[in-house]
Amino acid sequence: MKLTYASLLAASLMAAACSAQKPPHASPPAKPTLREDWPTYNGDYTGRRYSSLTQVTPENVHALRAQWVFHSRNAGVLQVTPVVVAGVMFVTGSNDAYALDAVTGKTLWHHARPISDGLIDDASGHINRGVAVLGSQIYMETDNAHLLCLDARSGNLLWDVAYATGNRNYGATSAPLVVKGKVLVGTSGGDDGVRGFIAAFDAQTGKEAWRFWTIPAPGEPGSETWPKGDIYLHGGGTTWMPGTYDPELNTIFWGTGNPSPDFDGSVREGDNLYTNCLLALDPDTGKLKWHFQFTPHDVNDFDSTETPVLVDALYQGKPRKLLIQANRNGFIYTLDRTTGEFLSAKQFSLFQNWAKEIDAKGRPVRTALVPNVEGARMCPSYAGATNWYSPSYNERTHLFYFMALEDCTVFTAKTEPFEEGKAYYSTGAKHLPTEEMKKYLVAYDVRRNEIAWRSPQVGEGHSSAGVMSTASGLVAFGDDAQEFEVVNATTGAPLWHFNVGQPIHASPMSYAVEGKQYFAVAAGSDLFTFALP
Amino acid sequence: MAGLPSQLTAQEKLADAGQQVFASNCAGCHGADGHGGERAPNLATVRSVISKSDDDLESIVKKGLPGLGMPPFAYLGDDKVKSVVAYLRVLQGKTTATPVTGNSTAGRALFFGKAQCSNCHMVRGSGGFMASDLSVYGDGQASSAIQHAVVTHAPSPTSRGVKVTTKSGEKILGALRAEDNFAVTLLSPDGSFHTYDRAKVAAIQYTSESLLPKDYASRLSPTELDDLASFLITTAAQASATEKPAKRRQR
Ligand code: HEC
Ligand code: HEC
Repeated sequence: MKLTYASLLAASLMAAACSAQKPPHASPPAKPTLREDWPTYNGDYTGRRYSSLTQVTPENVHALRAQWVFHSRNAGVLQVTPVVVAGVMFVTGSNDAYALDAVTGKTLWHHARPISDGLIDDASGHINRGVAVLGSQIYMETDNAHLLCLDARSGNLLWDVAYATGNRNYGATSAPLVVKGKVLVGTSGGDDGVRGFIAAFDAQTGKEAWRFWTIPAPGEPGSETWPKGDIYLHGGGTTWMPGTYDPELNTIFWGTGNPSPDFDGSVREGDNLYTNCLLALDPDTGKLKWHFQFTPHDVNDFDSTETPVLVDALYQGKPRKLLIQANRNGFIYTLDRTTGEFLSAKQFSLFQNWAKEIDAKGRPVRTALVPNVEGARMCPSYAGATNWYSPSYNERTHLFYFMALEDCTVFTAKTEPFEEGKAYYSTGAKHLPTEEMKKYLVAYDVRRNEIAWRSPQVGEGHSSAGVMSTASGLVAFGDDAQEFEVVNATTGAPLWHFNVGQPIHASPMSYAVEGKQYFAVAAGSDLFTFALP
Repeated sequence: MAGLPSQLTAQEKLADAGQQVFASNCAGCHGADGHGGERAPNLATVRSVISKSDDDLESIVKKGLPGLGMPPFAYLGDDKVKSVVAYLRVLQGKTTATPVTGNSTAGRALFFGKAQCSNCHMVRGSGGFMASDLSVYGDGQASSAIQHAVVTHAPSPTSRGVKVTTKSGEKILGALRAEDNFAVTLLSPDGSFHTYDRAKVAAIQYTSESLLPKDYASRLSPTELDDLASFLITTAAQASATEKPAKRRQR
C-alpha cells in the first residue's frame, strides 16, 4: 500500500522549491486553520495552538493510546514542539535535527552537529525548541546563535549564518519564524548582559535583511529610558521565543525579555525600553510600528516572551483584532493589535505583591517592594506566574488556556560589574524552604474578562509544559506530575492521562496523517505520540 | 597515478614551523610526541582535544588555563600559535595536508556539470539530496582512494537502495531510509518519503542499481577523476574544523 502522505510532501516541498520566481507563496502557516499539518512552533501564525482536528473527542478520548516513542540520544531535556508537514515530523534536540516518519516514528535523517563549548546559563543547557519550514528547506537555531538552513529531504546543510557576535554571552534556544520569505530569529542571554535583537534573513540566501535592536543606542528613540553610557550594550531585552504574525496588518508581534542586570535596577534608572515589551514590527523592514511595555523598569525577571496570541473576537460587543498575553508578572493583558491600545489587564495570580494595580493606560502601580541587599520576598517568583510554555486560545469556547505557577522568591540585589562568560543577575533569588510551589491550569474567558476556572495541579511546580486545544472541545497539556493529560475544554474536567515517566518541559501539538489524528509531546529526552486505535 | 607533489602546501609549511615551537615550548610538559607527561595531559589522542576547533585550541594556547597549570602563550604571537596548532593536528593524525595532484577548479566544474555528481551529492549547500553531502569527505583522504570510491560506487550498509512492487504492479525505487519487520521507508528521487507496510505489497527487493552510478571508469578520464578528487580534497581543507562532525547524514 502506498501512503498518500508521501506524495503530499513531494507536492508541498516541490511547490515551494520551484517558487523562487513566484510572489511570496502562501506558506503553510498563513492558512487560517490548523488541520493535518502543524507547520510552525505554535502551529500557525496566530499562536493559538488551536487544532481544527475533531477525530478525538471528549467521548472517545479515553481510548487514546501511545503510538511510538522517539528517543533522542544526545539531547538533554527536549523542549521542542515538533513541526509536521505532510507526514514528516521535524524534531530538534541540542544542535541536532531529525526528520521522522510521523506515522512510524522512524528516523528518516539526522543532522548531527556537536554542542558548542564555552556557553553559559540557558545556552549551556543546549536547549532547542524546534524548526521553521519553507518549501523544501528547514531552519533551526544553534546553541551558539547560528541560523542553519537544512535540506528537508536529506538533512544536508545548505547554509550556516552566525548571527550574534561581539558578546559571547549570546545563545539561542528558540524556533525561528518564517514570514514572507524571511527567517526571523532571536537570542537568549538576557540574564547575561547581552543586547537583544530580532534579525531577519533571506530564506534562500541567508543574507541579513534587517535587524531590530531591542535596546536603543544612545540618541535613538527610547534611549532616554536608560542612563547614559555603555549600559545599552548589556541591557538584555532578548527575544527567546518565536513571535506571531498578522498578514492583514502586515505586522509581526514579538515579546522581549527582562532588562539586564535582572535584579539590580540601580544601574539602569528609567523604564528600560524595549525590555518586557510587546513589539509590533513591519516584517519587510523591521521598523517599529508600536510597542507596549508590560513591566517598565523590571527588577524581577518578568520576561514578556510568552506567546502573544492573536485573537479575533467580540470585544465589548464589537469585533476587534486583539492580542492576548498571559504575562510572567501575574496579569493577563488584552491589547488592540492594530493600534497597540491597552484594553485590559486582569490579575490571574492568586497572590502577587509587586503591583497595587495596573492603571487605565496599562502601567503598573508598584508597591514599595524591590529586591535589596537583605532580600525581599516577592511574588510571582523569578520563575514567573507563567512562562514560555505555550498558552492556547479556543475559538469555540472563547477561553484562553495557560499554565500558571503560584510561587514567591526572596530576591536579593547587589551591584556587580558585567563580565563576559558570566551571568549578570546581580545577584540572586532564593526559595524559602517553608514555601511550596503550585501549578494551575487556568481558563480565562476572553469575552467576560474573567477567570472561568482554575484547575489546581498535583506536583512540585518544576515542570514547564504547555497547553493546546482542539475544535472538538479538548485541552491537552503536560501536567505537573509527569502525565500527558487531556481535559474537557469547557469545564476542565480530566478525561484521559498517560504517564510519560519524566517531567514535561515542552508544549504539545496535534497533527494528522491519512485521516488519523495524533497528539505529540516531548518529555525528558523522548517524544511521545498518541492516537485512537 | 600522479607522482608526489614537489611543493609543500601552506598547511604543511605551517605545521613544519609549529614543530619547532612545540619542541621548545610545549614538549617539556606535554611530552615530545604530545602524548602527555607528568606535568600535562595527552593532546594527541584524546577525543575531547581532537574534536576542538582550531580557533578553540588557539584560544587555549594563547590564554592558557589559569589555575590548572597550563601557561598562556599569547606572547609567542599569532603566527607561532597558529603553527603550533597546525603541528598538533599532525600529532593527532588529523592533517588536511593531503597532496592535491589535479586541478580542483576543473574538478568543481565536472562535479556540477558533465559528471553530474551534484544530481545526487551536495557540496557546501549545492546539489542533490539522494546521496551524502561530500563537503568534508575529502578530509584526510588520498586522491587515489577517492577516485576508487567514485569508480566503484560500491554498495555499503549505509547506502541501500530498495525497490518496492505494489500489488497493482507499480514499482517504486529509492534509497532506504528506515525499516523494521513491518514497514520500509524510502526516499524517492522526487524528494518524497514513502512508507510501505510489508504485508501489503507484492515484493521488496534490496538493490542499489539505480542509486549507485557504476560507469564512471568509462565516462571520465584519469585526469578528470583526479580533478574531481582534488576538488573534494580542497573543499574539505577549506572547511573549518567545526564543520566536520563525523557524518552529516546518519541513520
Ligand atoms: C608548564 C606545563 C605546560 C606547558 C609548558 C604547556 N602546557 Fe598545555 N597544559 C598543561 C596542563 C597542566 C594542562 C591541563 C590543564 C587541565 O587540567 O585541564 C594543559 C592543557 C593544554 C591544552 C588543553 C587540553 C584539553 O584537554 O582541552 C592544550 C590544547 C594545551 N595544553 C596545549 C599546549 C601547547 C600548544 C603548549 C605549548 C605552546 C603547551 N600546552 C604548553 C601544561 C602545560
Ligand atoms: C545517481 C546518484 C549518484 C551520482 C550521480 C553520484 N553518486 Fe556518489 N554516491 C551515491 C550513493 C547512493 C553513494 C553511497 C551512499 C552515500 O554516500 O550517500 C555514493 C557514494 C559516493 C562516495 C563515497 C561516500 C562515502 O561517504 O563513503 C563518493 C566519494 C562519491 N559517491 C563521489 C561521487 C562523485 C565524485 C560523483 C560524480 C563523479 C558521484 N559520486 C556521483 C550516488 C551517486
